[in-house]
Amino acid sequence: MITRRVRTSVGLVGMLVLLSACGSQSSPQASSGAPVTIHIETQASGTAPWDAVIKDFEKAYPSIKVQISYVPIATYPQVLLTQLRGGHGPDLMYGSSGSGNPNSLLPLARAGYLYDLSHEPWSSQLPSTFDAYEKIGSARYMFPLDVPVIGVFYNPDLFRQLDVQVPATFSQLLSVCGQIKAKGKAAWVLAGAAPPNTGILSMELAANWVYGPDPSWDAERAAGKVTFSGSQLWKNALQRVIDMNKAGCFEQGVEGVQTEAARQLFASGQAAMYGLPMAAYAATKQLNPNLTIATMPFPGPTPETSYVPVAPSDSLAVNKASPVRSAAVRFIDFLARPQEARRMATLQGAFSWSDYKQLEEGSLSQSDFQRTGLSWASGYLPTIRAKRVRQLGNLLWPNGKVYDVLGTDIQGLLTGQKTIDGTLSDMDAAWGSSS
Amino acid sequence: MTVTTEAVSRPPWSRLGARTGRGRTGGKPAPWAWAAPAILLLLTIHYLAIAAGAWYAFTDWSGASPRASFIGLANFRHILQDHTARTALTNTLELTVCFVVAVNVLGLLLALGTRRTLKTRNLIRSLFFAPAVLSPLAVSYIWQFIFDYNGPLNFILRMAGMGSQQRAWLGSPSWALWTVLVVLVWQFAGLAMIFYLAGLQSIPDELEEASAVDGATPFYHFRRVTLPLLAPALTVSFTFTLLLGLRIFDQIIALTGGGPVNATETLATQVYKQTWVYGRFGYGAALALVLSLLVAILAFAQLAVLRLRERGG
Repeated sequence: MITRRVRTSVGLVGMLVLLSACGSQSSPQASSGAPVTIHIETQASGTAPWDAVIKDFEKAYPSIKVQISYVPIATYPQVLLTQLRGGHGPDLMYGSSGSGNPNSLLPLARAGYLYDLSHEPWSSQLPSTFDAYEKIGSARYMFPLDVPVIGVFYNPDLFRQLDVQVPATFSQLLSVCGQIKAKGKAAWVLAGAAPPNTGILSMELAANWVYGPDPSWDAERAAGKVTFSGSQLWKNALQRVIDMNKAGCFEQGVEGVQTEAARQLFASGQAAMYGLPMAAYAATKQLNPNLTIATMPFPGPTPETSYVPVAPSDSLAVNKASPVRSAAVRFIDFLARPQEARRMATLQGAFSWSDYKQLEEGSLSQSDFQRTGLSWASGYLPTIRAKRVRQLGNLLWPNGKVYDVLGTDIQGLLTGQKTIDGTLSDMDAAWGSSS
Repeated sequence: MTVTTEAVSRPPWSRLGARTGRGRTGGKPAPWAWAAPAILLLLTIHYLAIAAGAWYAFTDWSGASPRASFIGLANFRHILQDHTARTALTNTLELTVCFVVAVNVLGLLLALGTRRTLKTRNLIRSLFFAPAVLSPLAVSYIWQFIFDYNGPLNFILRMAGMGSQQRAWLGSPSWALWTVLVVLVWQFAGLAMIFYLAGLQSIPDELEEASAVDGATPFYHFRRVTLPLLAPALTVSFTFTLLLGLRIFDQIIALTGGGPVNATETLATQVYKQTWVYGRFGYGAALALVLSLLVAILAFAQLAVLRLRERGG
């Protein structure tokens, strides 16, 4: 006779079995010959580049299917980290190179989540300037999806219409600001309430006034030989923000302007210049397809001392614990081919690693450059060819707080809440803050 | 087979409650025994997880690292020394107090105003309540446009000859917090209105008629009849809006991101930034624990005071 107690027990056990079955995961088919699926996780910032390369890859490797997830930018770092910690990370993951962003990949490499790609054939061909962003010791943990230049987008039609010369030096820029303001337009649009945009302006200033004279400044800071607050170079750089504000360069109410409003202001022809990375080109053109955009480096003390910050910021890494790791590595190897790398990078609005390397070496012909589809960025070529390229320092900083503090405090310089010394002290404190 | 009627009506585990002698209502099995699995799940999944999370407040965990070292109260000492954390705490309290007062006063006025007489009262109530169910992010982006320097608010000021009052509302250190407050009050006043409408509906019409016959003025009637009978609704509304105010996050992130230079930073935004932006999980957990304690202390204190008033204490 089955008693009620026994039946209850059997029922409970049954429920437990059912629950555990719900919680279990089917193991991926990684056995030889069977089709495998690799999972890529990336930030939701445009699907076109991925769609194109995935289609090409699946055609070249019919036995490997690619599944991609787009996670909103704001939550991407936490989603990725939670998945990795839970042992359910994607096989391939997008991230920023270096360690200075919330979505940076080097901290994940240090924590043991990423696979060493230094034995892949493309690894030794990458420009050595990328190593600091991608390597720990001799191990390379990521592949650069593109190489964006950070510089100045300007509207040549508006300069012509206002009968104003495009500035080539910082003093010319200040003079141009007054002229453009007198004609009812904004000379320089800045999203003053968006730390990432104020941060970009400060990195452009740093390229000219800090890393230009002292390219190894970040290494010295990491070694504890210098500090932000003790650096005259950084004081010079931040003084330029105040100079620009005093000269009326920025739009009215700059301290409250968010990214969308700033971009709209530039796209609608109400502002002449905007400091942006190359990858922002497509989004800006989308707001106004008739807008003509030209590019130039941020005007430095002289044209010969005007630099552009460049870094292989957008990267792809392989999960060390992936059950289909070899297929995931094969995807990166495929992407690393010069023609595929160019396809991906051009759709992202930046140079591919191979084109950038040739640009640096001066071996990319004009016709080859035209074929990249980035002719709108030709304003950067003389600067790159003259090797007036500097690091995107913030990616090399030890944590995301230093850059966030810089971006936030620039807003404080505009509102009067902060001084240059206070800003630099905050950056030193953020550098030393435990993580 | 000997299954009795009692055995059918009582599951085996109902004897748990019977043994303690508690939970029996009218001689029937204790209802908490039926709820035990749910309570167990709640304790395990919810409270145990919270307790486990709280442990990180005493560590230096970075989130990515597999190891977390125990550092005692160092995170809490750092909170006391951290200027940003102190600003966030002050802002949280200022914003919450002003939010609770403004939302409840406005909600009560809306409830009284739309209680009767108006033919279109249901439509008006729906219109006032609608913002409360909208996405906080969507609402914030609309208000961001309104408060933009080239937006409608400054345009109206210019048109009204008050051009000197134009400002970057969300970028001004002295105005940003109060500008955020306007958005919050606009969004949630309708919610408080619903609580008070429910309370007003429970007041018998006879009382109103009696006080009118006795010659009471509308204000006297409100103070002596309506308000005391609204005490339960006041308790619910004040408690709910207090919890809402202390945890406001989405609107601040979308409107100001905590700026300019921490001027609108709150404990909730700091928890997020320290944890996910700066990768300081241990410190973020400590801030979250402080926020949780603050919520618990203030909510229970307010509830106690309001319950006392309900009982006429």
